[in-house]
Amino acid sequence: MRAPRWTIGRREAVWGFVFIAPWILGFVIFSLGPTVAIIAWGFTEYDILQAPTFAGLENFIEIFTDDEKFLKSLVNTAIYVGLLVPCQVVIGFLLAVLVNTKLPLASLFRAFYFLPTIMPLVVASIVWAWVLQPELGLLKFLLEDTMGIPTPRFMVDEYWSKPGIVILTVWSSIGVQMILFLAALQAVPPHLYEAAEIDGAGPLRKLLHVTIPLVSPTIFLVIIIGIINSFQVFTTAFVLTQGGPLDSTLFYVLYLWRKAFVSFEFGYASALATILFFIIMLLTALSFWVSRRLVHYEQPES
Amino acid sequence: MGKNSHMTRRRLLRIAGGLGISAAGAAALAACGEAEPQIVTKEVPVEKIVVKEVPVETVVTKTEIKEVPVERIVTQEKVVTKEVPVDRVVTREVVKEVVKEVPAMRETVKVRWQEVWADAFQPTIEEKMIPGFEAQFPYIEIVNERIEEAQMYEIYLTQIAGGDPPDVIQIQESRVPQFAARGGIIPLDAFIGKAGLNLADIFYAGEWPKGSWLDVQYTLPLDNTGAWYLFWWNKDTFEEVGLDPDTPPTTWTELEEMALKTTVREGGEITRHGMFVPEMIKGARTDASFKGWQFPAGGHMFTEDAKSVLFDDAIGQRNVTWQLDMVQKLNDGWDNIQGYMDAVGASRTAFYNGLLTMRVEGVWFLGVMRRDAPDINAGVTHMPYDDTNPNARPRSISDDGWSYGMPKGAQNLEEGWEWLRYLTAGEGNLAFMGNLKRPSSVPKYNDDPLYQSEPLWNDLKSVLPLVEASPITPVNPDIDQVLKDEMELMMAGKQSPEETLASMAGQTRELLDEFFASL
Repeated sequence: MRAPRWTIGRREAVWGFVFIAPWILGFVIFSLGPTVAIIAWGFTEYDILQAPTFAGLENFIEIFTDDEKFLKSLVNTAIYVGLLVPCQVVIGFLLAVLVNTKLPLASLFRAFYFLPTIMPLVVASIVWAWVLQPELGLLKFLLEDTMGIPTPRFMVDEYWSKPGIVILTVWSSIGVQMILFLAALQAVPPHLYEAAEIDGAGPLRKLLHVTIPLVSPTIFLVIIIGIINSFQVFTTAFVLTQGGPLDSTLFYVLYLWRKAFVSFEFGYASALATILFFIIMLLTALSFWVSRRLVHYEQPES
Repeated sequence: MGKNSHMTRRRLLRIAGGLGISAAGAAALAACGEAEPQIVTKEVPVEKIVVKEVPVETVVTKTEIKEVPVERIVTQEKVVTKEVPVDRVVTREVVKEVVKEVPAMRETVKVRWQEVWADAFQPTIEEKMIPGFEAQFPYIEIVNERIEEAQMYEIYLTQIAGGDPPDVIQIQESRVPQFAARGGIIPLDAFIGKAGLNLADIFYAGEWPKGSWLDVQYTLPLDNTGAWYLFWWNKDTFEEVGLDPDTPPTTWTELEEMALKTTVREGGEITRHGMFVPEMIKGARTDASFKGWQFPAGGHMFTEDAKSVLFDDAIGQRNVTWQLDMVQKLNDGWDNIQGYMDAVGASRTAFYNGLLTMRVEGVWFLGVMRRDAPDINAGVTHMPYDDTNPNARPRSISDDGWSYGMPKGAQNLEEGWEWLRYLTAGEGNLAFMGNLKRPSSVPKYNDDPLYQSEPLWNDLKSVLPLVEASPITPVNPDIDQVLKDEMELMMAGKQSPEETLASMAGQTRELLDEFFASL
């Protein structure tokens, strides 16, 4: 009896799996595996140097009932996300609009704005530490010493430390958002603008009723990526403030890192990581739910 | 044939077994000595020699001399030839053969070493230290795996957990008990004992105990970071305000007077500060400021066994209160100096530029200062002490510093130990520290001509014997964080000195009790 011949569809499916197998393997080994392990370790007492012992819900109970720094770091991170993500969306969009014009040197500006993105964050942090340094920094020299304008005491004032880190992060990451928005802007069909103009729409109306709805999927993407990334803020605070002053930049992942690699409480840190995982998942799901009403996707005509 | 002359199979096996064990023992023991011993096992099939060449009766006699360290048969011919004449010829031939063949036969062992030294130090490591060591130990190859300091413990821990740690690691002494108490680092006592090292004879008294935990040595020190807290002053500023540039303050009263005298106020603002009392070690470590002033205040941090808090007393209270008081008196409040309490080293820059006259930082500051501001006219001495306490005296303490150890799971212990020993107690220490112009943990190396071009060298060296090692707890990093947080809250006016000390002591006790209860 002859074996049935494979259909084209089945062959394609097999080859498809073959081609994505490296990614699947990488995902399972480097993402899924560690995620499952972290969740499991969250239920143990584990210092990395000795074998973990099962601790049930002990870590989670302690986190929610007896850990002031957990709440503090969560609130700090939420404030940071709340400050950073809107800045990334608005500034990234405005820069994209700016470099999307047919002005001379526009392409040079694109490269110029993107340049900080390729600078390692540690280096950027050290540079900005000196720019924002409240006593000997460049900003103080330019504003306060030269022009008499008082400058905020970034990094040493508990109320200005988070905005200081937001400024640095926007500077170092805005190139990515700009490029995403630029691609979206360039995908807006010109005839829609022409139609709007015929209907008498000015630049603001075109922006509000043509551009923004059509780039709303990108806005949504930038928000989602912004939330996921900014909840994991670590490097800037680690280099610039080590969580200070007065724990005002003790962000969630910095606190988690301290628990794991300073205190050797890896089980506890795993529980913190698990909680963060679900927080981010929840926020992402929430964003998707909200996006159903606010994000406009081009639908093919049926 | 007499009974004794009959060689039974069982007896032959006993003899052969005995000699086999002896030979293996010889190899093992000789491996620990100077004469490259393991080779014996491979190259000299002792059983064969004996069975073939030595009459049975004689062999029996020889097997009974089990107490004679077989190592000596290989390495000390005279002893063997004197004590066991029967074996003389055979043994001597074997020894000659082994000694001749050692260099060619020994397999190269790669020792993985992880360190965190910056680019500037790599040429010394690669061009002097490693070649110097490999010349002494041709069968050891050092593989230098440089890692980032900020990630070092993440890397160590994951490697240990993954079962693939290096053989030798660089580790801060403030972390040694933390690793040791959890079995993350290998005790060195057996190696130290076998090598016949007396640590007290080799290192400064304030240095080597920091690498131990519960009287077991886990690491050996590299540098003398002993003087973690040293007092530096700008001699030019002293001269400018009429102070003797060569006479720094020795007491807290003198410190206050001199700081006020060197402070400059213009239009209600301070344009030059005398001293930031809570600023130490590049500013951002208020935990260090508590510990640093606690000892010249006449106090202590912990009991010798590092299990109990000792700073919760009148001396500790005086320490925190005095620091807050000084910030008000010398700097017109925390707001005026907080800007210098950062991690990028603004306080150092202020010192170089004459905006700050006196400050506290460790021995490493000499090299840093020479690099950043080579022309500054500065002096160095011990910390001023609290003259209101009759028991206080000039003291510097040390509760940290760089050392080397071998992590749990290290593969090449013997070879790793040789490298570790070379780096700390051996010539590698001088090669490295002398090049850095930083004091060594070994006093004799600090007399080396390498250092003599540094004008402040003798001043610095004279402080080092005053340094005492402060007990280090296995929860040291957590305690430091508590001290830092609480001191900052006090400086920011969020709590009183009394509340600060009580909170520091309470949280520290809790951390210690929790840890020791978990053992």
